[in-house]
Amino acid sequence: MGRFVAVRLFHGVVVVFLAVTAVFFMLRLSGDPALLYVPIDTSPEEIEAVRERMGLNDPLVVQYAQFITDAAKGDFGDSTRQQRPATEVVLERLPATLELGVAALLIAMVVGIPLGVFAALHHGSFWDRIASLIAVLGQALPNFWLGLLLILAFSVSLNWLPTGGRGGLQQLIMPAIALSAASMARYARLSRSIMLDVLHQDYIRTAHAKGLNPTRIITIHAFKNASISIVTITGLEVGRLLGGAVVVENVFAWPGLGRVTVQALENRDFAIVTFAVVLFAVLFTMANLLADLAYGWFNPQVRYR
Amino acid sequence: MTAATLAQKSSRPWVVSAKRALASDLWITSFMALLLVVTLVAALAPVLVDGNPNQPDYAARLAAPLTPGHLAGTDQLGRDVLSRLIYGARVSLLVGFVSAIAAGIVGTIIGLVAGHFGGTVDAVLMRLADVQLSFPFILLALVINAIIGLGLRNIILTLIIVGWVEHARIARGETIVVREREFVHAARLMGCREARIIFRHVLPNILTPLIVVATLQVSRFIVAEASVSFLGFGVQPPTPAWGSMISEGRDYIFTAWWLITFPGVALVLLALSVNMIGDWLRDVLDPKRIVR
Repeated sequence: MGRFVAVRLFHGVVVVFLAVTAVFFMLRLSGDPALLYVPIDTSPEEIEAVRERMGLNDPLVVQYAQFITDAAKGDFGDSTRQQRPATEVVLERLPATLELGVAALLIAMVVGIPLGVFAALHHGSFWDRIASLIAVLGQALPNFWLGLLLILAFSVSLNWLPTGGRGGLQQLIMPAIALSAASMARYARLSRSIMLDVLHQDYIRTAHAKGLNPTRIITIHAFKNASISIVTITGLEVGRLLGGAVVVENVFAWPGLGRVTVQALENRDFAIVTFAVVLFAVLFTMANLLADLAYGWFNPQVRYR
Repeated sequence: MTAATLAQKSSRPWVVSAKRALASDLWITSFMALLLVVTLVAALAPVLVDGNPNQPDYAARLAAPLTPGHLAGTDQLGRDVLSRLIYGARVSLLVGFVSAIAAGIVGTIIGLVAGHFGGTVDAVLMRLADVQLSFPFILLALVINAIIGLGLRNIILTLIIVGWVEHARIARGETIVVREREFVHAARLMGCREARIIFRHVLPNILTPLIVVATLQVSRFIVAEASVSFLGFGVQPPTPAWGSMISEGRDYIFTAWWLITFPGVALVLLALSVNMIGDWLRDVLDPKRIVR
């Protein structure tokens, strides 16, 4: 187990390192960064001076070595717009994204799992179809459009909630719902199919034959076993929610990682883009690792190698 | 029984089971009909729409739906929303199908090569896949699109770059299983060249899961293009794409609800039908899977 975690962590570090490398070369190949640091009417000589100062005239390999050395020390350069370290600009947005992600995950689990279990218990009925329809719709609804519909309903028509920003529960509720929809749908689909599997097991039939209380069979015998497999997808969902946040944050002007990344892409503020992308890769890799660990934790049959 | 009917019965059993499943499920038939209608409307756009969908008409700005001549209303420049929706269908279908098919071809070839030869080629290609998979899909699409440039052609290119991995992983996994089968060894003993073994013997046997993945990818790519265009990258105004229509309509959310509503409904219906067809294909093409 300890060895497995160590190997996976090492693997994660390699992947993040390769990701940093890929981002560096892609950004360098996409245009001359010196032009971004100077006013539009700068003379060619002055631009050349900036280029020299920034080390952009060095061979690409030398620039890369410098970049990697700095990055290893936690220095990803300064934001061109804000004139302060990119790491600072990006990291101060992390709590907002985590808050939104946790809220969305809770909504997805609290609504999705009971919905799926309910559908399984009424397999083939009208309610099963309705639950399946909700699950299917949840997966097809683009999160940004769902967000706008919520704004249209609760901000424009009813005037109950603010259209964006971050603060209390009032600001959190709509972006969290918009972000959670796809996850909720996946939880519902998965819980339904796992519950159906479990309900057809022999030990459930035995429990019924023994004359046990049906509610007890469903809660203790069936759901407790099903919940193990359901919980294991949570790691994957965390990763997916991170991706979803990139879009949803921009609908609600939520000051998180997704918003700062998109703004930096618009401004071609590459120091921020680089670090944000690296941070996303780190978070995403960690979520996947946790997913694998949770799987073994809940299911002792899994042996790590 | 005549030879003719016998031949008919025995030919391609999956066609028969597909027909049976289709008839038994009105649900999936209606989604297929929906996709067909959207495709036809997109194909016939120049016939159905009278004039240029980008032509502003400042006298008719922000006309509500059901205004005579503007069934779905007009936008902030007085352009007819229905005409733009119809042309937008072209963008969505083009982006969805072209990128998924191209990503499928590229990914399948890479996966076949990696799985068939193994070794260093395999290790390098799969590490590359790992790196790509360590980013959220939409973030990668945004960054790549911002780097290679905006516009319709580049969003297609972006989605191919982001999407090949999924196919490559599946193709590789399946190839590793199939390459050990007897008919592959037999082909090699008969003196087949490796290229022929890969494309004539291995490929047909791994195609089923790849078709399903490609179908499901179409709907994901349609939504991804809309998301990227919504954020101001991807397809650029004035080209009518559903995502950028929603993005433009967002500024008028307090006065003109139809500008964000109609393109969104179109997007959901299209993504939903392709998704349902993908799910259905998975069930039909894989007899081992239990359909619930």
